[in-house]
Amino acid sequence: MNANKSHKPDEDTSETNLKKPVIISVIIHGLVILFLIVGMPHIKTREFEAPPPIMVELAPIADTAMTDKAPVKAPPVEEPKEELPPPKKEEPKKEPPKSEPKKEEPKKEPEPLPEPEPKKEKPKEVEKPIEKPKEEPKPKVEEKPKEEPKKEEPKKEEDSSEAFDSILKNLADVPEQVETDEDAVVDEDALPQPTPDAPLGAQVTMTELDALRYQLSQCWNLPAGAQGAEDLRIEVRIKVNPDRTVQNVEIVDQGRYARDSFFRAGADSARRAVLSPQCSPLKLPEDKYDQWKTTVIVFDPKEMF
Amino acid sequence: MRFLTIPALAFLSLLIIGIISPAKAELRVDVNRGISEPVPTAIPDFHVGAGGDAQLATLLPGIVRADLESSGLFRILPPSSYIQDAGSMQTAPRFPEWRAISAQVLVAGQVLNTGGGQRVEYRLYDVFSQQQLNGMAYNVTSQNVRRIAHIIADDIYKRLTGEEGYFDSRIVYIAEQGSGASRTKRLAIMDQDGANHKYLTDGRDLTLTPRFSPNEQMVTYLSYKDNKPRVYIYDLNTGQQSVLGDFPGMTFAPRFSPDGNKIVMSLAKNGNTDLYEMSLRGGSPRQLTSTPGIDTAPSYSPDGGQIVFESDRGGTQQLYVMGAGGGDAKRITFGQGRYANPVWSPRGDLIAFTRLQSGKFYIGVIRPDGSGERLITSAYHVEGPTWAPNGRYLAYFKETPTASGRSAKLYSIDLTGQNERLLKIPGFGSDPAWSPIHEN
Repeated sequence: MNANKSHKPDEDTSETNLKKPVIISVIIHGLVILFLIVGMPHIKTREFEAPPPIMVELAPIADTAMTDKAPVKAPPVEEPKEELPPPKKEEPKKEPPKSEPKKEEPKKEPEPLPEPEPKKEKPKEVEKPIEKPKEEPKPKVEEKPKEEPKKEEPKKEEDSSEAFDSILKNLADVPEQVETDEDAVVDEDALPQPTPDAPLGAQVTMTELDALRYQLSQCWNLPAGAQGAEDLRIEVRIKVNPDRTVQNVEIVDQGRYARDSFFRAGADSARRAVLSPQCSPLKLPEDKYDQWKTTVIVFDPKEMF
Repeated sequence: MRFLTIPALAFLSLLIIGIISPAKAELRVDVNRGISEPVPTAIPDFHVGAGGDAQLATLLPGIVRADLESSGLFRILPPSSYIQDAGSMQTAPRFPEWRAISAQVLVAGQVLNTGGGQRVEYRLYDVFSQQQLNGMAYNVTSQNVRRIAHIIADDIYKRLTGEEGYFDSRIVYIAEQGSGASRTKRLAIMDQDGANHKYLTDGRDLTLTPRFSPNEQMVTYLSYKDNKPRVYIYDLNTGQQSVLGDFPGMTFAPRFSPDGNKIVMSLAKNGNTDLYEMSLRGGSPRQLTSTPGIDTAPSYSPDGGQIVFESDRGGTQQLYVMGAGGGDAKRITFGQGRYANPVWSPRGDLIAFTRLQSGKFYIGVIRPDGSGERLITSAYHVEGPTWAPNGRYLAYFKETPTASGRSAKLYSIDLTGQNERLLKIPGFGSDPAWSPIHEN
């Protein structure tokens, strides 16, 4: 640049009035330099402006982060605990039928079955799959909010510490298992709550994801003990209503669902988990609806084996 | 121009970022743990349709409930809590009412007369997703009603767990009566749930270690007829007993090959016990092992390619695996104490065994390569594991010392080590052997 500038006068020696172009040149060069000094950093800063919301949001992890293990109140010292019996579910109460205006009305008789073959002692051979009743009651989207009263108070979550033990019992291991943090007690206060004042459109934080993860791990009752259970990996895509109830569940791998009975059973259990009244509404930050209105949940019991 | 390009580029890149980000808006969440609890299940009595037998409508679902409950994987909700009646369910279940009693799956069935006899239909529903998962119909007679109920329970079990069921199966075992010298041990058979119990032999000769043939029509066992221990075959269709082969020494620990054409067993001769394979189609026995010491308790892998057995060739009694034709054997257990009664799982992934260590008996499982040994139950004397046909449960016998001697009872347990259950037998029993699933 400077070389350029210094040569100019030499080239134009024949001209008598050099002052004006020189001044213009100096001004323009000055502007360029000024822009480079002031303007460039400005652009750079703008480029780096996008990430900060993530950085800021990541900070709280240290305080409240949790895995999908139950938060540990205090490490269980001494006193090796006996294995707890599985948490008892409340006995089904006899409730009067909910007044459900939307009740499915009797639609149609199930499809008539094909005539049975006159085989007698071979029950296997007379089996016929029954067709689905034609009008299978469609889950109605509007129905969901109606069940609002059943929304769980947070205390619904029970201590399910045993769920975190390996589901395969081994007598040889018993002494070693005693002092892990498996006997953790759920501390409700430690459960992360959605931050109400999060900036609009901000990312769902790790802490918030953990809350959802923990919630769903309490509702996912998987067919354990089956061969290959450790290789199970089920993706379900859920559409969520703004009130955080699940509107629709789609099992992503339909091909495997159709041909693999074990995957099918696992996928059904995953679907039950996201539709479970115990997990409704989902623990999602209400103000970030755009982020979670469609969510893929990957169910993979790898930590259980 | 130059100073225009920089902001332009910056703008462009911002624009691109703006375009890309909505594409990754789909949130992904990994759930790597779950719980393992019995599934709350509702099975109302079946609806009595046109010409249907009301007794069947109560009997069938009762058996299905008991089967599913016994697996430990289902919790049957008490029928008194059900709100919707069976009749209205034939049109459509009112799912909110089932959700209200916390049912997750629901079975709705009916019994009707189709002109050609009684027929039972059932449908399995997922309460939360309000979907039908399965639906079948069977012809039913008073003779096959229990089997039909077990088949329905197997259908439901398979649909909800992904594994084959095991309810439509039988157990043969040694029924024990009396004590001390007057104790009799005879062959008995029953359905997996204890129904249709009957004695096969009269108890005159001591009988041990019965094993089913793969087609479930024969049982091979050890009997001391004329005080000579020999391997016998019992034909369940004819009730005939016949001795297998004519050997100079004593034969014991027989087991069928998976194709049902051969029996592998031990033959003790000249102070040495080796494994022999004997074709049921005749011919001479083939010797599979020839090491000094005792080789016994052979069991085939489900593909018939390998045999696991116990041997004291290494000094202590341990488990070994070799090819079904004999040859080199690989030792798979190295733990303390003694290992015995290995049984290869019908699904092939595990071998169950008895282990005796420090005066205590254990039932355990181990992978065929010798890894992953797990002890799942223990007692003063627990022995003789046998696999349910789906390879998920084990049955065995447990003996407890009592004032009047020892009393043996039969138990079953989940492979996970949970859900140990006493099997219903009229008296005492040992040496259970679970049948394969019914083929027809």
